[in-house]
Amino acid sequence: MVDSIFIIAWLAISIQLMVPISITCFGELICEKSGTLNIGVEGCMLLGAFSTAFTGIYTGSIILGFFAGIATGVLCGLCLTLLYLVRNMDQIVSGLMFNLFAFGLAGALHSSFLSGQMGPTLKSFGFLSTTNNPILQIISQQNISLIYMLLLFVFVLLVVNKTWLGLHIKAAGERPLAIVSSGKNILLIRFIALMICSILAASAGSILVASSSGGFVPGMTAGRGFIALGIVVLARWNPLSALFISFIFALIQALQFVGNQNDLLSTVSPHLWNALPYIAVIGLLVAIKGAEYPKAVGIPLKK
Amino acid sequence: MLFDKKIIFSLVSTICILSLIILSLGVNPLDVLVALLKGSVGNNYFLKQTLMTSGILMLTALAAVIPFSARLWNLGAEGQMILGAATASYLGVFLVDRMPVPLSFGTIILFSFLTGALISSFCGFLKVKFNASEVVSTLMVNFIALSVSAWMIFELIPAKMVQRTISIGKEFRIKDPVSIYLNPVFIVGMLCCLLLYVIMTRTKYGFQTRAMGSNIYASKLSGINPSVITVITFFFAGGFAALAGTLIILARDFSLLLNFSSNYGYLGIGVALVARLNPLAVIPIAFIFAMLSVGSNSLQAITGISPMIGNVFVAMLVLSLMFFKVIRFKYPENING
Repeated sequence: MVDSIFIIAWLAISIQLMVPISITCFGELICEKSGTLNIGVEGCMLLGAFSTAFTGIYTGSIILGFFAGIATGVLCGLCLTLLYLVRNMDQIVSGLMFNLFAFGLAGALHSSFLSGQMGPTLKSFGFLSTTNNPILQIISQQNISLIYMLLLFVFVLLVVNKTWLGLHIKAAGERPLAIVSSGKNILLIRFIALMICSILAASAGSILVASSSGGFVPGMTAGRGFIALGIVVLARWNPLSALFISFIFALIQALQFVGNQNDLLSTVSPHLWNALPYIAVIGLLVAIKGAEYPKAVGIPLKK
Repeated sequence: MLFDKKIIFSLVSTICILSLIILSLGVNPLDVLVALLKGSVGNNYFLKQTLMTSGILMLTALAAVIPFSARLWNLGAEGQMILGAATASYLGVFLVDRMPVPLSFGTIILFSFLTGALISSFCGFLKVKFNASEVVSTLMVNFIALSVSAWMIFELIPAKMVQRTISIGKEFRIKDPVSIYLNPVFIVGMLCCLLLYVIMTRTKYGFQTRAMGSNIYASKLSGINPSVITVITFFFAGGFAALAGTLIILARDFSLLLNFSSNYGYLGIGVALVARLNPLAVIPIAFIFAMLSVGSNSLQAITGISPMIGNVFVAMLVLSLMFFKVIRFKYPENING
């Protein structure tokens, strides 16, 4: 019923799908800990994906494309800073409008400059593919983005738990007035967190492009940023749990691609498998009832 | 009031930024303006589309106005609308020749309304019962609805050759009126806005909703049950969004299409915000947004810009109105401590 080839294909696709989602989660986690609910991650991902595809196609270099993604992340972060922190706008609504903006802009630029072209992609570690060891076979289908994700994971884990910045980010989200009264600049702390978030989200978009065809499809992120919002709550703002839960979601998401290779799974339409990760987010939100956001999330600081 | 300094600032900055974006696409902004006007109110066909779209946007805006007044976030109008449309298109095929026409027509409207309303109030229920963030759960509904509609189009009741479901029965289609100004969708949208205005300002429910939005602690102390209000609010919000989808099927498309919605759910949120959550102000604002949305469909033919730029216009307008504090939200005191 379930054979080893199926399992290997499933796990390999899942790990590929996990990389962009978990990178977005790491960013969103830091941002929410600092007291900013960044719904604009979806838009950052989309714009990052577009700029990577654009640069990749016109220069032929995936490395330049990756840096273009990071530069877009910086720009998005500055825009969002203007909205969330400088003008104290409502984070949910303005984040949503930022997403609409990004969706329209990426779509319009796409149809003007690069409809349907393919670009350079990341090569997988093919050198291990001759072995019989299933774990090595799974690893051989991954690419360098997995290592990037693991490095970011270590970075986020260290920042959150071991540094001055992590402590202050936590305080900014839980008791903003404590930070203000101790004479620290709370906006600076939230700004750093927001920049990390949008840069990570944009580079997750880059990886989405570089691990698939190298081209851009309007709306290609398909709610991954929103799933990351859910995962961060489920993980209770803990990077290790975020990594674990995004792997579980990737396993669910992969079913639509591998479902037809298995008799039992192929009885359900791939379109319905497609809905499963989103249903799972709602289901898990119910299952972990009572996860409280950091106290100041979503509330702009009063001057 | 209309020519307040803040409003002028925000309009000017919107126009400047949009012109820059359009110039970077290699098009003259004035051409775009002319194309937008011609493509939205230039002739009877476009005017009909604009009136219909403004009716749809009114309904999706109401789906945001009601919860936002209670400081609840329904970001799933898009999905609730798609689910309403999916139900309507399925029943429109299934009920042909099974029941008397008026009865089955009523059934279609009722069940589509209930689909959206129940999905939405389910999210509200999860919020009050399990503390599941309604921001995340309603956003997820959008993507679930897209998958369900793709499943219906490709597997449940696919039409031959084209990417759409089988068309609904001829007897269920809402005919074009004698005068284009009496567009049925526009009239329904307007009536719903008026109805909601009366509900929000003249009834106990409306008062409780607004009280909950302005101060949840005070409203709890005065005996309002926030859980009940939350579920009812989401029920009506989802219902209005689903009604928009139903009308799209019955009066415009006659079958479910993939991506039939040009982000009407998200545009509705924009309408609600610009109208400052006032159901009467929704009517003119929805018309303006409908002009932007319908007009941008003609941009491709005239200037070569993708119609998706319409989303940028709307988002930029809303963001700059928020930026200059024309639209603002009040927050409860002492929350930063």
